[in-house]
Formats: sequence, C-alpha cells, structure tokens
Amino acid sequence: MVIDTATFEKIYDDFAPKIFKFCYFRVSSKEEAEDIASLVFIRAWDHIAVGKEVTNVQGFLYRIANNLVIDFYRKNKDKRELSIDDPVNPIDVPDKADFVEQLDQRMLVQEIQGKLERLQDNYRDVIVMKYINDLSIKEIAEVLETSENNISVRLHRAIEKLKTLT
Amino acid sequence: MNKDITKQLEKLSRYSIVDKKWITSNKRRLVAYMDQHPKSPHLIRSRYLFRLAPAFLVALLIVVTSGVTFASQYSIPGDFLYAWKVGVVENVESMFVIGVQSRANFEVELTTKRLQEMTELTVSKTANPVIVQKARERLQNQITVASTTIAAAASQDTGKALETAVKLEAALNAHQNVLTTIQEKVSEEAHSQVQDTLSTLQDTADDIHDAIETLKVQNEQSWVLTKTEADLKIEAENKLKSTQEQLDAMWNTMVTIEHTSDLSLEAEQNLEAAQEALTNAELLLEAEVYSDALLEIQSATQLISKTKALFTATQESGTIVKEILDVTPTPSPTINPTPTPPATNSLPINM
Repeated sequence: MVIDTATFEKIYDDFAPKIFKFCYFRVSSKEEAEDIASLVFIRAWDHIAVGKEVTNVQGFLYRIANNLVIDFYRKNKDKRELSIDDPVNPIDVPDKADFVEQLDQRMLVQEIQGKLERLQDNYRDVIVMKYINDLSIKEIAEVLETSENNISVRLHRAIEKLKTLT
Repeated sequence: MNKDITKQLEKLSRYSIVDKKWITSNKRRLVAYMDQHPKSPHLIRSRYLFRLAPAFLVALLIVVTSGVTFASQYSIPGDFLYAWKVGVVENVESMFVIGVQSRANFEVELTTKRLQEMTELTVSKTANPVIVQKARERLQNQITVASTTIAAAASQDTGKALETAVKLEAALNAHQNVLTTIQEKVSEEAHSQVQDTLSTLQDTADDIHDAIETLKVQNEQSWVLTKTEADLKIEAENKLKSTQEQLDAMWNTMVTIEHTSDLSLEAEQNLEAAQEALTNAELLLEAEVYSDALLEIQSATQLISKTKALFTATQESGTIVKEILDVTPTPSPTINPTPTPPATNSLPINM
C-alpha cells in the first residue's frame, strides 16, 4: 500500500481515537496515553517516509502502540511493582477520567479501569484489544505475534480472572 | 455485576472517550512533523527499483545464458564454450527427455554432434593431440551409450528401435565417407590423424551394423508372429506414404545444393535407389505381398537416412571441412549455414 501525506492524515483521523483508547486502558493515565498515542503516529510516519511498505495499517499501528506501552511498563517498572504489591492502596492511582464529559460514561470508565489495573499485563492487553478496541482474535494474534489459540486461551482466563475481582 | 463484565466492556467499546482538543492539536503537530520529514521520492524510486531488481536479474540471466548457449552451439573440444555446451546445455536438454524411445533418439542426436566435432577436430591444424584423443574417447563412449539405449528401446518396439539404429549407422557412415574423402585430399603428415579417427569409427560401425541386422530379423519375426495380413497391409500403406513424403522432402533439399562433390553425387544416387525401392514396394503392395513391401520400404528408409546424414555431415560442417570437400555451402530453407572458423586452422591440402 502506497501511503502519502493525505492518506496518512486520513489514517490519523480514523485511528487516533482508537489508539488513544488502547493506550489509556493500558497505562491508566490520560497524559501518558496521549504521549504514547502521539508517538505511535510519529513512528508510523517515520517508517512510511523511508519507503517501507505497510500492508495492514490497523495491525501496524496497534503493534507500534503495544511496543510503546511495553516500553512504558519497563521504564516505570519499579513504581508499578509497588502498586501491584499493594492493590488496595496503589501508589500509581488510576486516572479519574475527568475528561470524559458524560457522567455515566465516566463512571463506567473508572470502574473498568480500576479492575484492569489489577489484572496482569498479558491479560489486560487482550481484554483491551478484544472488548474495548473491538479487534478480532486473528487481529490480536497479529499484533501480539502469537497464535490465535494462544489468544483465545489467554482471553478466556482473563475474563475468568476479571469476574473474580470485586 | 461481575457476570456482566463482558457487557460492560462491550458498552465501553462504543464510547469515544478521547479528548477532541488533543486529537486536533496533535494532528497539527503530526502534519508539521510530516512536512519536516517528507517522504523521499528518491527512496520511493529506489524501493521500486529494488523490487524490480530480481526481475531484471532474471531477465539478464536469461539473455546471457541464451547468448552463451547459442554461441556454444558450434563449439568443438578445446573451445572456451565447449564445457558449457556439453556440461550445461546438453545436460539440461537431457532432463526433458522422457521415455526409452525418445532417450534413444536423443543419444543418437548427441552422437551426431560428437561426430561433427570429431571431423572438425581432425581437420584442424591447431588441435591439441591430447584434446583430439579425449574427443575420440568421448565419441566412443557416446556411441556405446546410444547403442545401449537403442537396445533398451528394442525391448519395447523393435520397429522404432530399428529406425533409430539406422540413423546412428547412417551418421557414422556419413562421417566415415567425409573423412575418407578428406584423407585423399590432405598431405601425408595429416593422413595419420584422419586415419586414427577413421579407425575409431570403424571399430564401432561394425558392431552397430551387426545390431541392425539382428533388429531387422526380430522385426520381421514380429510381423509374422504378432500381425495379421490386414495389419501388415495398413502398416505398409502408411509407411509407404510417409517414406515417400520424406523422400520428396530430401529431393527438394537436394535441388538447393550445388552438386560439386563426389559426396553430393553419392547422396543423389542414394535417393534414386530409395525411389526405386519405394516403386517396388508399391508393386508388392498391389500384389498383396505385404511383408516384402515392408522390407523394400525399410530399405528406402535406410537410404534416405544415409542421405540425410551425409547432407548433415557436409552442409553443417565448418568452412574448413567444406573447403577440403569442395562443397559450396548454400543456404537452404531447412538447414542453416554454420559460423566460419578461422581458415588458418585447416590442414595442408594436397594440390
């Protein structure tokens, strides 16, 4: 697929909200999610500008986003470990989702975010991609570069785990 | 509540929770970044060129190999391209030969090539004696291979194997004739070189002649044992027709050649004898003596094969051989003239 600037702007319009959502529920911070989402499109353009080919735009963007989130986790490893050790009083307090205008939506976001915070990373990523970003099992498998069976199993376990959380 | 977690998640997927101001401001920053880091047209071209590179390489490879293959077609032992001809071209051709009968025909074609090369080498003044000796050995090996494959083909179809064996013998006899004629025209010192090659050919020609006689007997037996009179009649009629066509084609080819040598005269005599045999076959068919008619047709086929082989040996040989034989090369619709090797390589001719 040949992508010029106009096409890439259209891609941004279509995917920026989705990529932000993906990052937000992974890192639990509006500011961090916006920074990562911005970087996703910069990295994507850098790739395209040097003449490299992109066959699956959606998969390509989510893969960059996923890698950047993993980088973010690594950089904040110490803080996150403390937070996981004490889930009742986490140091890394989840975002209050104040930017979500409608109250019912904001409450739902907060509730889900609170539960996702307590899931391990490999469960959280599949839940976000499957239910919040509405990707298929196949698309998730492509982003995470693993088998569809693996994703199905991981997703089932993640849901089971999520159901047990109060 | 927990039971509804998937429904909650799906509900959330429908919400757009992004800050619209961020979307707009970030797009401005992204566009600015894209302007500062434009997509390089040079890189685009390079990329397409890179993608096309394998196609170019394949095309180049085809052109080069085709050119080398064509150039190697007339090479003889000792030439730079000869290894390509026997090591690559002929091996590749061999891979596409399927079936015992086709294999036998292919080996006879290779033998004809080796004979042509041997004749060229024999008259070449600059040929290295070691290379000439190796070429003789290669020729002997090739004749052995051809004879073996003909014997294998005979186990399936004696008639077809006989036709192939006749072609092999015709090629051998033609080159014997050419070399005998050359021997009479070259000086004493070159005489022995020609004689050595002739001796090599004679050793194998006798064996092939015996094999042909055996095949003829087997073929006749198969007519008696496996075919009815009606079958023989149909076979004789069909063969008479196809052999007459071959003979007519040979006459047409002969018309385009200037008859200046003894060999061309011999070729003409062969064709006349073949015509006579076919006329006899026609009379025998009318008299309903089908097996005798088939024998006459076989005799005509043998004579046509001899003429074809003689024609190939003289007209498709290099200029040196032609000069010695005093054969004027004339382009014909069916046979292409060969490239001209340097005239200085020829053996001294007795004047």
